[in-house]
Amino acid sequence: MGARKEGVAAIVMRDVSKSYGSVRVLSGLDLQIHKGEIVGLQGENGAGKSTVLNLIAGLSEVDRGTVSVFGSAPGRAKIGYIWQEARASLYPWLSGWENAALALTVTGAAKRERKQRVEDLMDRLSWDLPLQRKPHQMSGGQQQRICILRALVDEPDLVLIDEGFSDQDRLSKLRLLFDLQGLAKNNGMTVLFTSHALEETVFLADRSVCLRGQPAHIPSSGNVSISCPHPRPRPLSWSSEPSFDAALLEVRHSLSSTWEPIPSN
Amino acid sequence: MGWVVALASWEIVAFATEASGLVPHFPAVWRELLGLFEGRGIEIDCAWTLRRMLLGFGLALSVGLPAGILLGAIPALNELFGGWVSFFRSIPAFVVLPILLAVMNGGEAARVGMITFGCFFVLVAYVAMGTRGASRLRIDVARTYHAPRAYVFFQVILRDALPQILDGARISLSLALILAMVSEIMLGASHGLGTRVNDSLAGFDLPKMYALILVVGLLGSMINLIGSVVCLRLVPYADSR
Repeated sequence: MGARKEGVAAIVMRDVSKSYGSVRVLSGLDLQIHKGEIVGLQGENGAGKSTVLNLIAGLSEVDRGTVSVFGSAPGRAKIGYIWQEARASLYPWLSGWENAALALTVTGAAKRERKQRVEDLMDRLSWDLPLQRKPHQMSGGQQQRICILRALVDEPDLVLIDEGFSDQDRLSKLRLLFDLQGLAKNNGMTVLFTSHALEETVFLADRSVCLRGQPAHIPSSGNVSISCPHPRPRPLSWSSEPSFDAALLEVRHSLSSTWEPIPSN
Repeated sequence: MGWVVALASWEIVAFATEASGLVPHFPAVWRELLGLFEGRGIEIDCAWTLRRMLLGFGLALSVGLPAGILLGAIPALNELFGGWVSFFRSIPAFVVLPILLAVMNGGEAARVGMITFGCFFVLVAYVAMGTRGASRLRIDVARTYHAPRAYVFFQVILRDALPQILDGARISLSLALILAMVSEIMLGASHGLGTRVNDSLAGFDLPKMYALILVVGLLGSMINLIGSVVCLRLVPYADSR
């Protein structure tokens, strides 16, 4: 159930290095994600998680190494991206539904089709949002849901999520994780997400990958498969079972295994 | 309540300076103000001043808007010319009036030229700033969804810059009114609010001069109000970005 999927590689990063000015953020980073996998990327603040996502999305370029997404250069695949800063990523001059339909607008889809597909996705997720309003007329949680709709409406091959659920309340977040894994598996989407909440990672992901060091890389011990006795979609009740705690412990251990205690005087 | 306080303050100052007569009492100013609108041609003078203002502003906008966009969008251009924009923006427009008079054929061209000069660099600066400051994240959103470059530029960068562009336009428009009157005073003109103010000052007709100042204030307030309404309509989200 938690076995690593073999098959077509969705993302392959080989010996990637990236600097911003004189600060090297990534060095010698190797990462491979298979098609249809759901992978959680862990790391401390400033470790380079967002940098990894931006390199995969083709929004910035590596200084050294290679990145390929579904066998091509970054920036060509059909990607949905959920940014952490929901409000800042939405277009304030567009209504909620126009923001949600952005991926369809730029490909030239007719207005009726765009509206229909946004509404269909909302129905699948059982959401009720004031789509006719502008983003500044919505709450933070509603804005983040618009971002999620925008990322998923065109059924992308790859979904990148950068702390994309932070504005949701706990219940909504659990429901969203449940729905997202269902959508991902039904549509064969590959998902790479970052999260500070280990419980989210364990519930959603097939595998946890941990960035370590400065500059960051992924050591072999930073890859942890997540074992779940249930088939997808994993039931919400799993988070109350002992096997969930065991998986959580394993991920936690992989994160903290290199931590050194503060030496006593 | 504000008006009551203003009028009361006016009368206090008028009484205090009664001996010099520098500040006439408000009733005298009010009578002159009413007289201005009772067939004494103030509307024609307003129209001339507005005409110069709008011509000068319009010329500045037609060249300043694309120039500002280019400066904001192309870093190399900003490196070359950004400093010059700041330099010329700092020069009071009336200083160049003698040069304009010598170069241009006729006073009217020089008046409009001065207004255009004054507004142009303010507009370029605001437009460039707005274009350069367009949200990197929103540009990345469009790029992630493979938006064409034209979409990214016109529908994201310029839309994001629009509030700042409109701010620059409003400031330039107010400046254009001031420069229109200054040009009328410095160069003289057969019609215009500046000419009327100058004539009443030369004749030491202070109640009329103050009445004309009130007219200018009302005109400026109306232009500002129209600008605010236009901005609210075009960029209702400006404060929430």
